[in-house]
Amino acid sequence: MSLHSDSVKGLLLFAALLLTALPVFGHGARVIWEVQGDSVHISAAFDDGTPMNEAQVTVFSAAAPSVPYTSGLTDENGEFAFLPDMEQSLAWDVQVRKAGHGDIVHFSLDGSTDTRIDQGAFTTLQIIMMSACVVWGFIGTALFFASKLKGQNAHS
Amino acid sequence: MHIPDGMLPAEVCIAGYAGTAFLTWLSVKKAQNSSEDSARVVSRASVMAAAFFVASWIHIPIPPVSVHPILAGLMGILLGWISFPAILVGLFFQAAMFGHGGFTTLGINALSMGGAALLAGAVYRLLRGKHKENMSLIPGFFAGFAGVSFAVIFTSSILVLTMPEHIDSGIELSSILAMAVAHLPLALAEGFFTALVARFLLKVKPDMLV
Repeated sequence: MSLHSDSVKGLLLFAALLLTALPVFGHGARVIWEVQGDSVHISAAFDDGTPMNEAQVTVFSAAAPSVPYTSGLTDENGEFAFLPDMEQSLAWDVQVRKAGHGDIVHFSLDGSTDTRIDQGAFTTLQIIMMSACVVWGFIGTALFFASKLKGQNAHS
Repeated sequence: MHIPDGMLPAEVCIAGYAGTAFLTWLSVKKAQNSSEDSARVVSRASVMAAAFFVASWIHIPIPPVSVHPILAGLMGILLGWISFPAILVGLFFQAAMFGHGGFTTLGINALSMGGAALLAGAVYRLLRGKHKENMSLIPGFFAGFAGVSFAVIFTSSILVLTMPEHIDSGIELSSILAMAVAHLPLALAEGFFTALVARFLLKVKPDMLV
C-alpha cells in the first residue's frame, strides 16, 4: 500500500517538477519573408530568437523547382535578400539550412496573401500551455497504469 | 539533433520509417517477453517520455551553436528495450506541437535517438557485468556518454551522406562539425548525470535499472 502511494506521490512530484522546469527555448527554425520594393527579404532565426547567421539559402521558383534560382549565405543577423524574376514565376520556395537545421518557406507574390508571414511563432504562454498539456498526458498515462497495477496487487 | 522536414531525400525518410517500424516491433516483443509487469513498464515509459519531451526545450548555449539534453543514456538504463518506443512517442509530440523535428524525418530521428538509448542500455549492461549491485560509476558514465555520442554520429553521418548538390558542401560540413564538437561537453555531462542517477537507484531501488 505504502509502496504504491509513494509511487503515485513520486509521479505527481515529478510532474510538478517538469511543469515548473519548462523552459521556452528550442531548436526549431523560423523563417520570415517580406517584400521590400522589388526584392524579397528573408529573415531566419532559431525559435529562441538567435539569428541563423551564415546559413545557406537556396531559392527555387515554381517554374523550375529542381534548379536553384539563386543561393547565398545569411548575414550575421540571419538575413538574406534576392530579386525575384516575376515573369518567370510568382510562386517561390526558399530553403534555409545550417548543419541540417532550418526550414523551407513557400510563398506567392501575386498579392493575394500578406507580404509578411511569420511561420510557427508561438507566444511563451502558448508554449508553456501546450507543453503542460502534453506532459500531463504522459503523466496521466503513467498514473492510470500505476493505479491499475495497484488494483491488481490489491486483488491478489 | 532533430532533423526537420525538407532536409533529407524521400528514400532516406522511407528507410528511416522502415527501420523504426522494425525496432519498435522488436522492442515491444522483447518487452512482452520480459518478466516485468506490463502496467509498470508502461507507467515508467510514460514518465520518461515526458522527461524526454521536455528535455529538448532546455537550451544550452555552447558557442557557436546551442545544444539540448538528449537523455538517451538515462532512457536506455531505465527502460531497456522499451526506451525506443518511448522516444518515438516523445519525438512525435515534439514534431506535432512545436515543429521540433519533422514528420517525414520522424523515422530517422527515432533511429538516431532511440537507437542511442538502446545502445546506452547495452553498454550499461556490458560494463556492469553480471553483478547488478556493482556500485561503480563507470557503467553509468559510459552509457550516458555513448547515448549522446551515438545520436551525434548517426545524425551527422546522415546529414553528410545525403547532402544536396545545390548547397556548398564545405560550409555545411564545417557547420555539421561545429555542431558535433559542441555536443562533446553535453556527452560528458550526460555521462556524469547518468552515472549519478544509476548509483542512486542502485542504492534505493535497483530493480528500476535494466
